[in-house]
Amino acid sequence: MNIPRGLNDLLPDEVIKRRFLEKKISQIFNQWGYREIIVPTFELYEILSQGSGLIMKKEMIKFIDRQGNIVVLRPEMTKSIARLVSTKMQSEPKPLRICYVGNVFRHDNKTRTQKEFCQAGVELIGINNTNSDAEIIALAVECLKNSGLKRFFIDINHVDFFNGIMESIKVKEERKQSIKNAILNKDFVLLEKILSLEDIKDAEKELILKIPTLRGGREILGEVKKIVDNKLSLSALKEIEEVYHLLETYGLEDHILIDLGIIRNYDYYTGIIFEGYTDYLGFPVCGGGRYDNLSSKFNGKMPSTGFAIGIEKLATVLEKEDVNALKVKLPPKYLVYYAKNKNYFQKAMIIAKKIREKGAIVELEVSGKSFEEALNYAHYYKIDYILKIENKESNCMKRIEVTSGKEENITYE
Amino acid sequence: MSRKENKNCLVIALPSGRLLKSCIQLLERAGIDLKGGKEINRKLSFYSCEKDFKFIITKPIDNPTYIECGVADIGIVGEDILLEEKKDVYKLLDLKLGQYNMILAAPENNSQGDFFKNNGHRLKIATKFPHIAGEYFRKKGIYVEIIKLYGSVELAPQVGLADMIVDIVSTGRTLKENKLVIVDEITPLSVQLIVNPISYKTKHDKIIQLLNNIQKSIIGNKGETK
Repeated sequence: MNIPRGLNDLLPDEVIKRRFLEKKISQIFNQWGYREIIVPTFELYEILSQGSGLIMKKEMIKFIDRQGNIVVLRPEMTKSIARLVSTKMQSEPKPLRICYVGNVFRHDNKTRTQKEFCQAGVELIGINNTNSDAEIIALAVECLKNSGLKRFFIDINHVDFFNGIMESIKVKEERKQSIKNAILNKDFVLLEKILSLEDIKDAEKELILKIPTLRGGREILGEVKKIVDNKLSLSALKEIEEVYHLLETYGLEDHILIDLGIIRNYDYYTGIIFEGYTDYLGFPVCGGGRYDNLSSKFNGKMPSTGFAIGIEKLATVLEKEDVNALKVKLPPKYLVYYAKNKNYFQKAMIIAKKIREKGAIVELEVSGKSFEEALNYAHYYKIDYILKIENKESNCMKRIEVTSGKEENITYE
Repeated sequence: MSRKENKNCLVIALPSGRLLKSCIQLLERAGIDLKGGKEINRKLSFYSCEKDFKFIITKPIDNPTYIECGVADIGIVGEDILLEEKKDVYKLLDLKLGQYNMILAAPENNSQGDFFKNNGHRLKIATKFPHIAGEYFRKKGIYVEIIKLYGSVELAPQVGLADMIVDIVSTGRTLKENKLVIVDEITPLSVQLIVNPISYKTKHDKIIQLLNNIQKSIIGNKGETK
């Protein structure tokens, strides 16, 4: 019995960890005032393809519905949310704080073997200022921190830094496009080749080749200002500086770096962008940024910013940092066992109900096991105590600690 | 071996096969002592003397996968593999290791004047690089049937499996031995240094230092051979 390639079953031990993480993160979202929404699992292609790059369009899992529309399993949530707020929450007072936790779907590629994975994220909709950029980044830090991650960084950048440089250099438009593509594909061998063909000023050449190395703390901004002189890049740097300053006020500068070489694989970003990563994983754990024009595709006009965390990725790095990071503490577990006598069953049921009310996890032995078998069962499922009922009338029963075998007579009211 | 254990050293993935020797020479010139690569034949992963570097040996075609997944920080790979499979890695440096070309070749006794016309039949192309070959013919607007092979591509035209081949050549000797001639040069190929994007952040100083050393040794080596 097979399931399609790239899909997965999650077994109980994995689900416990997954839900624990999801819950923790959505709790933080809620505490910051973000309200959860649920969008459909699949939507029309013409909507979800808005503002998507070619790679994303290729990775979408598409099919045709009964009316002949092309529909897509949501490859991410941002566009669905932009559609939702543009149509149904347009008149609500701004800002809107929206969050989500859910699975998204993309075709697998050479490195990502999974077609279905979970994302938790937020969108801050309706304002365009550095305060909201900083809030989103601060919230991302908070989520990673509170999930238990210790060593991680968020690198921030602004899409206009690169756009400004590209606008200011004086080369033919098609050459510009190939320079852009080389940078987007992170192909600096090709980039050098292209630049050596052009009669670009040496200073500009040097700057373009330097972009991926421009990374560091606040000091990097001062250095870069000396070598960039176009308006757009400078105003981008100013915004980064403001956001960085605000994040210092939040007390988060230890986790923040500026990386002017970040390129994110979405076309819809318009302002501050960022991604979070750790030493333990070759991919970012979370990422996001400002996308002010996306909602206009749905007749809305709402500047927005947001981010998403890859829940599986976060779980991976947490466990790489500390094997026990996701050991979830459960309430005590009981197995209520009664000797093979039908008359005891009712009492067992009542007792199980009573202990459940106290918040414990209680299983009722219903399969007619011998006590020894029940003990093995309890060992296997890491049950803490067996309650053994041996008579019908009195409130007295035996409580056996499974690991030690210690017995104790107790009574329940 | 996990990324966590390798936090403080740079993990370099080297391709096995024809490139391995020149990679080792290149790294030794850049100041990493590999003892001439003596240990390599026995182990698939090993440390350099100072333990600042860890090396793993991969099949050339797998090399970028190790880098993209981040289990190794730096890889050395032929451009043919990068062109065939798009990878999310930084391509940082042309290592100037040898001269290779991706070419289209046909049997030299081919009597017809135009290689691209085949008496109304669809051309069959044998290659190890179906994407590169497919892209090339798509751009030319010629419909071909591509036959993926894993080795000895030159054999295909001789036994009638294909009309032409798309393959890598360096000296052109193998082509000559198999009575093939180059019809078109598709693209020149370099050997490149690639880096995982996250490693490029977290191990930036080490990577830049190595990069500079390698660059210096490339320039130095050029000078010598002149």
